[in-house]
Amino acid sequence: MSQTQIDTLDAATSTMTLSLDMGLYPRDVLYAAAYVFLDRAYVLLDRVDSRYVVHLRGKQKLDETALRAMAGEFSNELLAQALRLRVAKANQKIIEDITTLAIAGAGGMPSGDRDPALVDLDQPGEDGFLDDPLGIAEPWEAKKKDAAS
Amino acid sequence: MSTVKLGTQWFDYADVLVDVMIGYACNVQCDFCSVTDQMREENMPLASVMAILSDARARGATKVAFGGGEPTIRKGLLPLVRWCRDRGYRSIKLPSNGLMYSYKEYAREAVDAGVTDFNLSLMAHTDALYARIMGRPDAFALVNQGVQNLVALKQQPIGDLIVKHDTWMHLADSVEYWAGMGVRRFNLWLVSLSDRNKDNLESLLPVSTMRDGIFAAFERGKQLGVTVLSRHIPLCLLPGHAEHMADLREDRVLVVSPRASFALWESKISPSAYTAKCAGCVHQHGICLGLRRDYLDRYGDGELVPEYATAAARAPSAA
Repeated sequence: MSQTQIDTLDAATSTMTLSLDMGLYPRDVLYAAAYVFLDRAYVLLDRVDSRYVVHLRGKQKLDETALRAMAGEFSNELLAQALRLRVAKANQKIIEDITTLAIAGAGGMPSGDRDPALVDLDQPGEDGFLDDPLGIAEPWEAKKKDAAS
Repeated sequence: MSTVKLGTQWFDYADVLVDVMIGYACNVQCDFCSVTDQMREENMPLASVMAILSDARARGATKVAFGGGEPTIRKGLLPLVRWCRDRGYRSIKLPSNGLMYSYKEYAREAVDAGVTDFNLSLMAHTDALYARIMGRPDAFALVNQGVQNLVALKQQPIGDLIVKHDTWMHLADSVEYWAGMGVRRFNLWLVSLSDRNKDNLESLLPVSTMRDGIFAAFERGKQLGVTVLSRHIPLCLLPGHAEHMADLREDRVLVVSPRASFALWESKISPSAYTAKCAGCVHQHGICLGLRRDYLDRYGDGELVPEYATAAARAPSAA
């Protein structure tokens, strides 16, 4: 069985069923790829054993050639979405940091010495929001680390 | 106006308290704390917190709480509180151990930022017991100063008292002490045998053993004109004190943690288990949410005294 394949194709009803290996594509990738086709087809997602099953019915009349082309486009979209997911994961931290700064800025959050980031557990003295002469804000984890060393 | 499902019911967001567990880091290690070392490293990114609260506000939410861990040690908390206030959150609750409020400036900043409800975990009424529970020798003095600072700022802090093996006999004195400091409302929470505290079996005694101390706290509260509510113990374990029972569902708390979102009363540290004995009790699914599972695992349901409407309603297993 191939990784992505056409299981059924019926030009008379403009319908087609694809199946793909669940181990190869995360579910989010399948959702994202299916979403792209919503303007052209009615889409139903299902699962049979270890394979996702995608039922597509064209909103317009589609002949066999058009259906096969759509199947090819779906396969390509899966690949594109898989790559996008991987890139998004790799950049998640930087996206969060930039988003935080953007939202904080839009919300009139103080900046500069009032950095809205978390307490840095590796630098507990840098809690920054106010003077803390008694070390009250020092996380217990840091004290534990000090005690151990 | 949007709705949100809590348990099996749908509620308007306007009626729901969005309780965001912004992180589990803390500045002390209380001897009954259930937060594990692994959990302590879990923090929600500020962008995620803001996105959640933006979305909830757009759906009509006006009540938010920031839990943990100890939220006041988080840099950026007060700007976040201000950000919430400026976006229409009208009720902003901050549960805390109270240590940071010992800095007058921090207490003032918290009030100015828009915190409306200061919930303080008040461990005890003496220096020695406070130090033993919280593991910080100056904790009692600092919390005293913190309460003083908040009261001076015309706030009415709410006291959360933990009921456990070494506090139950002092609950009434704790209520009296902190009422004298200006705390007008107290919640009693039964210590939980979960996560980090799961093997600390001695911390949780049978309610029947601690009942006198709990009743004394209720009585002392009445004498002093302050409110004392029990939040984790079924009514039938505290007979005759229905007016001191809090219904966790009334707060309509949606907990948002780094791991999941759920209704507070569905949390594993909330009472949620009925036993066969409870079938037919007039309070089942009413004011009584049942027992906490960890309590049931430890002591079973032998102490329960259900109130059956009729003899026919009595559960066969309880006959």
